[in-house]
Amino acid sequence: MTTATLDAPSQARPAKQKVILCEGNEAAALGVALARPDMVAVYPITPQSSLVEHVAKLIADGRMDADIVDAEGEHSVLSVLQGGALAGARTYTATCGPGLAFMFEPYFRTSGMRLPIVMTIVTRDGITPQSVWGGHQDAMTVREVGWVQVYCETVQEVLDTTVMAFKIAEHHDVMLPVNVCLDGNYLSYGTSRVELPEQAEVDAFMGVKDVNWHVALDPLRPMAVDPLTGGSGGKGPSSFVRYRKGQCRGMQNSLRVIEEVHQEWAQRFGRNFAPLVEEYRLDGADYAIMTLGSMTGAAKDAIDEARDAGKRVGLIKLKTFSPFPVEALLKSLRKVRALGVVDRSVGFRWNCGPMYQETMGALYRLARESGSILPSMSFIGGLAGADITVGHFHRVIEATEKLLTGSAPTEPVWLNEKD
Amino acid sequence: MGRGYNTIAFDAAKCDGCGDCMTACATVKTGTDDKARSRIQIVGSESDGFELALCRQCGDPKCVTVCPAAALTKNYDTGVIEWNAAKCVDCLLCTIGCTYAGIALDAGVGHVAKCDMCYASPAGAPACVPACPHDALTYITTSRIYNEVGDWEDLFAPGLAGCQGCNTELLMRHTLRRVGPDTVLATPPGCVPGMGSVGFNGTTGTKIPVFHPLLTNTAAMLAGIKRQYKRVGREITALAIAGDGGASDVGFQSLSGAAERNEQILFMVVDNEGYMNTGMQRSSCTPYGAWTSTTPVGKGSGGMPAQGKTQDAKNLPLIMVNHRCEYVATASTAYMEDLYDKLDKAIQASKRGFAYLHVYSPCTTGWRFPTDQNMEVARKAVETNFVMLWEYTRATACTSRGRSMIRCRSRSI
Amino acid sequence: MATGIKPNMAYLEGQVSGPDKGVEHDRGILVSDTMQTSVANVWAAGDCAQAKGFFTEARVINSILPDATEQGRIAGMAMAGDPGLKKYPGGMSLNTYHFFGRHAISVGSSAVPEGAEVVTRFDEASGRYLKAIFLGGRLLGIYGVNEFFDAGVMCQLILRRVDLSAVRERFLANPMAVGRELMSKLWR
Repeated sequence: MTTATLDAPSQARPAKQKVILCEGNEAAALGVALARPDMVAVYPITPQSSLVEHVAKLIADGRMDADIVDAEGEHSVLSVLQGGALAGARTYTATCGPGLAFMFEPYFRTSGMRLPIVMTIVTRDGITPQSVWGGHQDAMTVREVGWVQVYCETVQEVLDTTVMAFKIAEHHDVMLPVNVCLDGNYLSYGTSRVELPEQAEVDAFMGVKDVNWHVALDPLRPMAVDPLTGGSGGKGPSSFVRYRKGQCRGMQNSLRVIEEVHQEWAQRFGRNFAPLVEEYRLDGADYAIMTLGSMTGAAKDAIDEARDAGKRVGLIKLKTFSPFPVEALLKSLRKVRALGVVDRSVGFRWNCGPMYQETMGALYRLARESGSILPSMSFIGGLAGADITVGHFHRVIEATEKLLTGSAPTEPVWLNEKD
Repeated sequence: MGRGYNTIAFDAAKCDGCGDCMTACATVKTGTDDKARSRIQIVGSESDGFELALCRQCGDPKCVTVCPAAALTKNYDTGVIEWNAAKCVDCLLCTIGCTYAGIALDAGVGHVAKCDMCYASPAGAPACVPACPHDALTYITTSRIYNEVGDWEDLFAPGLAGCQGCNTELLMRHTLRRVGPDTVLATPPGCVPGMGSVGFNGTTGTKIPVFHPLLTNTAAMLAGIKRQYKRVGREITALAIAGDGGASDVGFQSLSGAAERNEQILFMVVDNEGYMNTGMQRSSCTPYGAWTSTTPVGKGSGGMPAQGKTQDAKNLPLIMVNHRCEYVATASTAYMEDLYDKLDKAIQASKRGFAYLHVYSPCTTGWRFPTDQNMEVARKAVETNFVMLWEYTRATACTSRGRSMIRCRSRSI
Repeated sequence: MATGIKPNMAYLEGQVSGPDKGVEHDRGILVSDTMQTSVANVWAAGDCAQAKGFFTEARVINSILPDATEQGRIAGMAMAGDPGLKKYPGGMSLNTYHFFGRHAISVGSSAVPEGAEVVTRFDEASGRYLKAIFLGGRLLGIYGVNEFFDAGVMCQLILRRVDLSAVRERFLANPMAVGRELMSKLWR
């Protein structure tokens, strides 16, 4: 199992931070409580269930003041929250896999209505072949629907990012829903030491809540929300384009806001997470491997061992996957001459991992810039709860190293194929 | 704004000419049982149909204008044209003025006589109406709604784009006036937003907060809205005006979930028996045998002719009863007083929990009947028991007000 | 006993009759079917007006109260430019009387044009008398003594030119009931 590693504290931290031991799902629930949402809607699904149980218990114990709606399915879960958000509520839920698939209709709509709903995806593979175990296939499947999606590496990052997600979502330059993705099984049930910020400190960080200033269903300021738009006549095309372009602008703005919010978090709470792209031992590296989520812990161990063995290899981790942080990624890619990308899901259309597919777009930018093509390849591992071990990452490192001298394979490498 | 008045309505199809109304009138007005002296006169025959001579209490009465003695006056509070015996000079000019023989000589006393709606009687209501054994006469007091609601702000702009003869615009306007401006209105995809409730490219016909939920999540979205306002201590009505398809089919899960949680919502379903806005496709509320564009009538295959829908309609209001909602009722725009009564109860119930109102709404376009017949078709649907008007509360269970059914008359050859 | 009304035209004497020269008049003031006189912005209605008759294009003085109120209404609406104005259909004789214990009603024209048919019935015992004049199934006039029918209803049957061919016999037997029945049907 991947070991969750805590970042070393880099700054003087505020005095009052309680240290507890908890699993990722509970850390998410604690982060939600700290962000003080008005409304939480829940529907259980493995491996998310203990998260909503923790939320329900926090509310029942009076440690969290939110209206909890036990909806009859994920579709209504998100719909209830849309209503709440349009009435001014800060809202939260969590789901995964089949639940995410079922809520797709309102899910697509949430970003279109610019509702700053925060939803944890406790990532799960599937839907078929049937599996209840972790994998990024669910979150990757909905990556093109206008939600901001960030992936956590550790249990501490889950808690901290959950709080930050509300601030990112509600930022006036963003006004978009945010998925905090945490790996099913590995982070959801992985227990770790966690520092718990003080509520007052978090309140100061969050500032004044203002979630429906731009779109509201409120008799005090009546408006028609989401009228029919588009068509080929009149103001149709231009008004539709205006909406869509606004969404795209919000997505692009979020890259800056994610960085700002992470900086402020680091200043207030002393924990520094790379907001978009993290580099690990990349300086002086000839080639790099690229990771996402909790697998990064094992990958860093493998990098350490490889470096000790004299290999000039480094690591690039994405935290923010949507919007794709191409500029930040290019800064890292410019430092290396070969790249191996490890995905925890598949991209059916391109016969490779989805992150690899997205990275190819960045590599095209790089090629235009440098005049040469950076050799790269795709690895797919950790599907449906399979472990990506340090040993697997050594295979990744070796295969990527060969790109420096040989040609790149067109087929992906399936890491757990013979496990 | 003008006033509406109570009136006596006559349904010739229900009348069998028994004359009980005339006897009742003569008794009250003349102290005799002489039908000839009744202010209401039933004429005609079984073979040609029965007709009525009765004062229509005209808005611009000619009997009044021709009277040289000012013995006749229109009372603008009651609407009744009053005759003053002390001023009358028995010239009978009023009988020349009247087109309908609503004022005529009472030969028994040598003066004219006319209906005064029994306003001055202890009952304050016409004696003829309850005397009719067949409900051919109805005392219509719906004017109360017009007089009361007419002064309230219409919360939809003029010119909603409904089909010709559609009654849903009427339903929307009445409902919104009653519910009032402190409302958030959900109009899921269908005829209601098709009329422009939410609007198109920045224009809207609605003066209150309004939105398109998805066809599937109306009740869930309203639940979120209502809960948040409740949380911050603001009183609003969360109102849905939805079609039968979205409610009974694809939106049923969220409807059922919200009802089971007893969310404080007023959910109105306008049942036109199918997906009329998209071109008359079958829904689970389409009744047995009905033609729709997806259950067409044709010669079929394998010797089995296609004869429209081959299943009964889902009884959605009864299913809602089984959620033990705060209030469930069925209503019809042909019975506006009943509808208003139920709407009032539903509004009150929605402050406590889930209130469900199912309104039967004939569709001129989809059912293909003449556009001036909507109310008549709606009325006939109730009179023939094709649909039933009832209400449910937890205290009373299902109850229905007695309403006589249409009489099928057999004719001898 | 006296009949008839003669308008006093003396105050118009000395005027030169004709367009732009004064108010055109004959036995009464001549008016159009919107009660306008020959002079712009001057209307006349009631006993003084000589307007078209229902049965004839010739202008007649029909000095009865129902016509006067109707003409007054038309003149008022015309003055106000009311878009709901309907033209004067023409005057018709109408009357009800109580004389010597008898009740008499007369509606319409007593003239019998070519092709018209006169039906009378008289019951000596009761003193009931009825006379009706038909032309092509339509009523032109109806008269009754001690025959109780509704003058207003008969007036409308004539004005609306209701075809009575199908109900003629029933109508003659009981004009009150059948007349009421017809108007009730027309109303619905």
